[in-house]
Amino acid sequence: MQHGITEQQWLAFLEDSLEPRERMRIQAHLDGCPDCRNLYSEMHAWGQAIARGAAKLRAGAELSEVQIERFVAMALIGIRVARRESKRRNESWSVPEALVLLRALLAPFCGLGTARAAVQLAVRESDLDEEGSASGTHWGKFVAYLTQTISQQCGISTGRLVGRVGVCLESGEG
Amino acid sequence: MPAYAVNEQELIERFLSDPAEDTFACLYRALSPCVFRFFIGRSCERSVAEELMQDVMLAVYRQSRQLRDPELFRPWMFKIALNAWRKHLRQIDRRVVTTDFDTASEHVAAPAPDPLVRSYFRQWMEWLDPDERELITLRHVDGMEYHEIAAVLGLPTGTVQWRLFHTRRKLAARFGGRPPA
Repeated sequence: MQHGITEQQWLAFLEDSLEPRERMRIQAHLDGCPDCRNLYSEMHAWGQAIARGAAKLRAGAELSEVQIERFVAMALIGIRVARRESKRRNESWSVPEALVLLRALLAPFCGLGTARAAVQLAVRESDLDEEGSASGTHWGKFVAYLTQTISQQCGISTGRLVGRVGVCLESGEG
Repeated sequence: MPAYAVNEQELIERFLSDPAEDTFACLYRALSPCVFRFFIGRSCERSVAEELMQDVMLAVYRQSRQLRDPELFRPWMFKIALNAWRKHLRQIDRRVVTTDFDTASEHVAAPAPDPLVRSYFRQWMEWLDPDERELITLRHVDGMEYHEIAAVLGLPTGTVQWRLFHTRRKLAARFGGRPPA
């Protein structure tokens, strides 16, 4: 602040955006204060010089309509590709595929018969739609039941493995 | 509100209420030149500026659901641009620079391709501290309002004005009260 004029007021005065009354007050002060008049002329000159320099810089940084259209097209292609990728990543396995995989995974640990029975039991307990996809609440329940059963039959580490595989199948990482 | 902002604000509101490809394309046409200028104003090469502009516009599309208030769109977008710029600078810093001394002298003697490189404005900007340079660039090259600059930099509006004023005083003290035309 200088002589009762804040930096905000100086800027507003220089940009001619002050309230008329405030503007008159500052103008009256400048008329009687050589220091502030000098500061005003310096700040005014620098404001204009910076604006000129910035304008030159802006003028050298134009994009033609053709260039913009090219970038728009590239952006839209990028968006579509990303959407397709995301959809592909989010695609879950179908339940029949997922069950075959789980049985095959479990067979070395507990034998094919036990694996089949455990999977069948978990399907029944969770009301899993055997024609649907490996996702949603029922799939979550199915994985939880199967994890619990396998943990009891084959040990906790095998149960954990089943749980992880179930989650991966749901997120399409299987 | 500046005249350019009327149509721009309408496009922003349309895009935020329905972030589809057509509304995004309209927004892209209106705002990408500002984003491009943002990078050129920071002495960025044209090809790099184009690449960063594309990254920023795609980030705007992807992250638009995070933004609720259309009035904050411009500061939000420039914040994304500023982060992209800082990330780019960090990547440049990490690169190992090697110099072939046999050819280095040719590069030194080669004329600068950008006619503005040695302009007074560039000299002033180079002399300022990075924070001061950022303020001047946001205000005068990017044409942002004080409250928008405050939102981009996370500062109170009064502090932005105070710093801008003192940056001008600093330039005057260093280069004289009468800047060259």
